Amino acid sequence: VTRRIDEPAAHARVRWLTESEGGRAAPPPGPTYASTAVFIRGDDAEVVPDWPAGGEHFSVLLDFDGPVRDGVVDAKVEFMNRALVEDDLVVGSTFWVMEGRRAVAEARVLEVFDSPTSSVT
Amino acid sequence: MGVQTYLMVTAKQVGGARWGVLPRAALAAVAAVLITAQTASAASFPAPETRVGVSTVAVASFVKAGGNVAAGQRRDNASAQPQPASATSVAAEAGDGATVQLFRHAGPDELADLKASGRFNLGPNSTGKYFAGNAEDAAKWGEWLNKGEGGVVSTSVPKSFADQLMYWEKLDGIGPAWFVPPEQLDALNALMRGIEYP
Repeated sequence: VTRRIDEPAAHARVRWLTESEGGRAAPPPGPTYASTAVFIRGDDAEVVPDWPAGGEHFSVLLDFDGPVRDGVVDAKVEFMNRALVEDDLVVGSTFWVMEGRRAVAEARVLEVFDSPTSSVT
Repeated sequence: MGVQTYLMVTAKQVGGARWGVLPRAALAAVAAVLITAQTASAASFPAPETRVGVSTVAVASFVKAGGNVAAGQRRDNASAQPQPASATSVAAEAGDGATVQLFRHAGPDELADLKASGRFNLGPNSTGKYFAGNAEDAAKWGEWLNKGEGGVVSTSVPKSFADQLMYWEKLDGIGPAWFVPPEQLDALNALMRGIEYP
């Protein structure tokens, strides 16, 4: 990933899961990181088969504000297609950062910015 | 001996893909079989693709079983189970099994590494490798992630391998996508049939 985020869709606090929680051996060094996100909606964990891998995935780009400390980093957040996440992307909402089928971090949305509805070109 | 005409049929069924090369005389019979299969599975039936070669004309048609997302169904659910690959990226090869062509936009650093090593390798921030089903879709993701810098590379893998990968029928509202996790990267590098560079 060579892109930095100039106009983020949101700002979030990202907690990287430890290896014992099923996460990565170490958090990514950043400053940018791209993967997919699965929003945690209501009782999805109970009703969506194969949760969270079976949830709805959206390509997400994180741009770290600084180094990861104690497994936590604040980051600018951008989605490939903002229109698809506009209902989910609200202050206080949370999403899993996925690496394929595996959840590697949990992100909590701190701030949402006015922005174009889609970044798809 | 005149120019020969063949009909290549790829019939994607739930149980897997099968195909054959048939002489012109079998066209009507095969078409009837396809129409029957389409009706039975209520599947989509895209317009045939035509490829013109030196001495043959090949017409490939695809029957996609259960490939459409019904109204009200979640849009982009990932496949927990092995899924049939997209018709747009499946190529049938005589006597060698079906393959799936995968496309990926590589940024400048990854592109240089690919050319140097001939392999897909993980960087420190890598989560695995994502692939698109065609070059146009790969370029869209590349424009977003790499500002278009770098280029689209492609490779082919056995369909049996692609079917093991996590698959999205339409990721980000763009198109089909596959994810190769780190633990399957060695298999990808061993099974893929070369890399085509921009």
